[in-house]
Amino acid sequence: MTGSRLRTLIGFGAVALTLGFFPALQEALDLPRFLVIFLFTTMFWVSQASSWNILTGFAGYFSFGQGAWYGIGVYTVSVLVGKHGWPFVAALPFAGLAAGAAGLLLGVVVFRLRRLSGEIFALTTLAVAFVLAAVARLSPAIDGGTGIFMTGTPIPEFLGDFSTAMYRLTLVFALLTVLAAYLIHDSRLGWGLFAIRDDEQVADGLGVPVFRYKMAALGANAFFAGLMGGVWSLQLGFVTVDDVFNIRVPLFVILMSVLGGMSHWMGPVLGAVIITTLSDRLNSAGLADVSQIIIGALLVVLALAVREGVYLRMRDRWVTTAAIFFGVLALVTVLDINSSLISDFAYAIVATTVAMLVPSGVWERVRAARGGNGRGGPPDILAEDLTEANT
Amino acid sequence: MSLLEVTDVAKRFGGVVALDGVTMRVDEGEILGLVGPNGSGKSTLINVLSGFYAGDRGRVEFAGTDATSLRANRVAALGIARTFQIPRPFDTMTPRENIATSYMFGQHRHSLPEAREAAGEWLEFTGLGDVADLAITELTLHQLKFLELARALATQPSLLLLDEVLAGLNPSEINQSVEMIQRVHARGITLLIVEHVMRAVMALSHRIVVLDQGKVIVEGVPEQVMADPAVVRAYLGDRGLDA
Amino acid sequence: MDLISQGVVSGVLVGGLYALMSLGLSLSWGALKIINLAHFSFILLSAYFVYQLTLSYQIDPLVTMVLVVPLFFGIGALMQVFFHMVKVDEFKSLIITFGIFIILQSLIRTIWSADFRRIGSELNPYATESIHIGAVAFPVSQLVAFAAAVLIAVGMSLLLSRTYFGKAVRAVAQDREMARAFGVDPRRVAVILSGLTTCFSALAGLFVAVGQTIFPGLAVSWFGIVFSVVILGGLGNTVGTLTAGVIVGVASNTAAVTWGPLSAPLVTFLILIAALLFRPEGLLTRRSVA
Repeated sequence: MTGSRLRTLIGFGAVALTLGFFPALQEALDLPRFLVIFLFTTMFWVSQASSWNILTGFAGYFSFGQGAWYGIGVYTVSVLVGKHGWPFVAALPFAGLAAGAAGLLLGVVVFRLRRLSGEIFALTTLAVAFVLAAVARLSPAIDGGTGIFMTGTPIPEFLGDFSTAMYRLTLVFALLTVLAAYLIHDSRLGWGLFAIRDDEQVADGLGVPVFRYKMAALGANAFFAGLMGGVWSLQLGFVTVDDVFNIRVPLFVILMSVLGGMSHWMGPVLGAVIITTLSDRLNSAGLADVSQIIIGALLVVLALAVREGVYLRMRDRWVTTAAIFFGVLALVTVLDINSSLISDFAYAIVATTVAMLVPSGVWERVRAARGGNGRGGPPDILAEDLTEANT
Repeated sequence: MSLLEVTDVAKRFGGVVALDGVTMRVDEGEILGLVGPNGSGKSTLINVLSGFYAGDRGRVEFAGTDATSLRANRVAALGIARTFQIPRPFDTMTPRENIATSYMFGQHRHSLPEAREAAGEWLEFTGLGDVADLAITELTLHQLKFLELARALATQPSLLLLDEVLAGLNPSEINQSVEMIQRVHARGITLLIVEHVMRAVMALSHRIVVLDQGKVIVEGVPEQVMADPAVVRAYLGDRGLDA
Repeated sequence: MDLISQGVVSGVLVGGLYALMSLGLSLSWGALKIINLAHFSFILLSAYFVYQLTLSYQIDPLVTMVLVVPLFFGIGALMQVFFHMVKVDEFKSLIITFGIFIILQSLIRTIWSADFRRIGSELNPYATESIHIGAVAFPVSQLVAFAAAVLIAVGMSLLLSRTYFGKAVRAVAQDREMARAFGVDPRRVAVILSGLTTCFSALAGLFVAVGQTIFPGLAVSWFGIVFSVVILGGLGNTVGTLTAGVIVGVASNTAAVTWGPLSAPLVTFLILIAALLFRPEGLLTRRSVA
């Protein structure tokens, strides 16, 4: 195992442990219970965005279908548990499997096309979700328009009370999803997917098993999306077609991944954290209605303005990032502007994100004016040398 | 000993006949030059041979195996590699990563760490060592063409199809490229080069095949072929004979 | 038996509307290489405008065409200008037009709320009147929509094949630079085409408002139908789109009367899948734009 892989896995372990102990910490320090709920909501989105990015970011196949896989997961568990009395935990794997199977079925049809396979795939995924919604709505075996009650579903004792159980489940599945994304990113499969994204025809010509790899990415995407959907059915409580098959899930995962960065597995994670925080604060400020307009506008602006997402920029300029983040956090805490810890973090997050969105050109000028501080500097200087050597 | 046998291959696109029954062969260990005026079907032939297009009729046989209706990645698995006239690198990867990807998926499976290391060899061979870890946007056309070459070589082919590798290069770059091609050949790789730059074709090829309007009109040794009146007519029209 | 023939007739008529909804997407994808998801919100927005104008000024809904169509021409043209300014590839155009779709849909919901809206019958005689031939009823609103669809599809087809502008569009669709070399300004052509196709969407919206109840969530129910029609009809192929619209309309309607409403979206989706598997270039694509 290489050094960097070991370090990353240790990092995963550390994050897992820290987050794992959070509920206990929350009780011990008497922090608001809401933080637990906020965190597990964030983890839901981290998982959704990461799984989406495996297909769209890594392989370059734009998918509007996240809602479809998520919905299949939700309904698989709801039907098995809510209508047929299955134990909750036993039903969960089936959520992932059902969604995965559906995804693979779609892939078999669309991925074999020679022309326009990317665009047609995108539009077909858009159509799939709404067809599924119609099927669910009209089929009494599934929903029939009446909805399914998941409230009062018995949760195994070892998981704890409701919010602790949600926390633990989302944590485990989010970790699994992100781990999968990481392992794929740094593997033959990942490289093959990147090659497919850059030029599928050439990749095919070089021997990349294009169809198999695309299926793998789609399968992974759908599986994890469905799995987390299954977990989320508990959170929804009363599962209805409108609540499950709306534009929210597909929209948010796109936004989160575009913002965070689609070529690296950490991008969607970061994007999910940022957007969930913002969305939460907007909702608590009573701006829930406007928020979807803002989201749409944000999406357009980001698609235009952001080329590789903020994660890579933050990583390359980590000192500046840390400085801005902790600086603003300290300032806001000291000034005691907000009642909520989350709001403090929100300010810090927004400040850092906005700073990172500032175009590279501006950063260069700032650095030049300050006389160059070496951070993020070396690659540019090298490039200049080589250009001179070439002419 | 013929490595590649092409028999009566034809291809049309709607009303346009690109290849009209091409029959030729490539012998093992040679450098075959494929020339012809614009529109004669050279690039189309490369695309059919490498599996990017399916021919309408005809037969392609490589080292005894029927390669006629194989798609691009099966053709690659047989040991045929090709470059593109306009380089098509994977543009979110560095040159090293491009070559590593190619090596990883070539005829024999290799792991990622192995591939990264092996890429170094082809980077050195093509002189791209200095730019190995830069963004693709920083490379010159000449370097991109060598990257195409390195990437094709990383699949360890026995037959390499070069599609107008010299197009767009200046004289000194052309000299470097000719030398590079000779070095590739010295490693035992059979080459089929499609070219317009005649002095390079003359210098490199053991044999030349001339294509015109989708058909082979002449084949033979360079000096013989280029003096052939049919060839002169194809390139210059009837007036050329007076000059 | 009567039920089935009614189903078929309704299917044909509503198929015209489906075709009208799909022309915008089909032409902009085929000729401009932009997959414009915003078209769905344009149809919806037009429907709401027609509703509001009819209600506020107590006029015949078809009259609102005079205002709504030019307005949407402008919107479509402006959108294309915007795309020229920002240089989008197909990937980005998906995201951006999706974002615009979200914005417009949310705006509609904010302004008009999620309540169902319908133009009352005193202002909208078309919705309630039907022409009867034998046992089959031809609802006037659907007839008008179908007639409009046929006129536009045929008209557009003639425009593309006979006029200078049409040739310019086809040239730009095939090879922008070459078209430019022949004196065609690809940008101007794109802007006009975009305006034109948005008009079609606006008209589709008008007929939606005249023919049924509208609500914000209506737009998403069109995705499956429109994609089936677009793929089956062939990108940029106007007559193909009309034919495909009719096929989808008849198939989903007859399915609905035979097997219940559940089957309609399924049948539509199956048509999409079948088209992708067997004839992804469309049914009549010899005469397409690109």
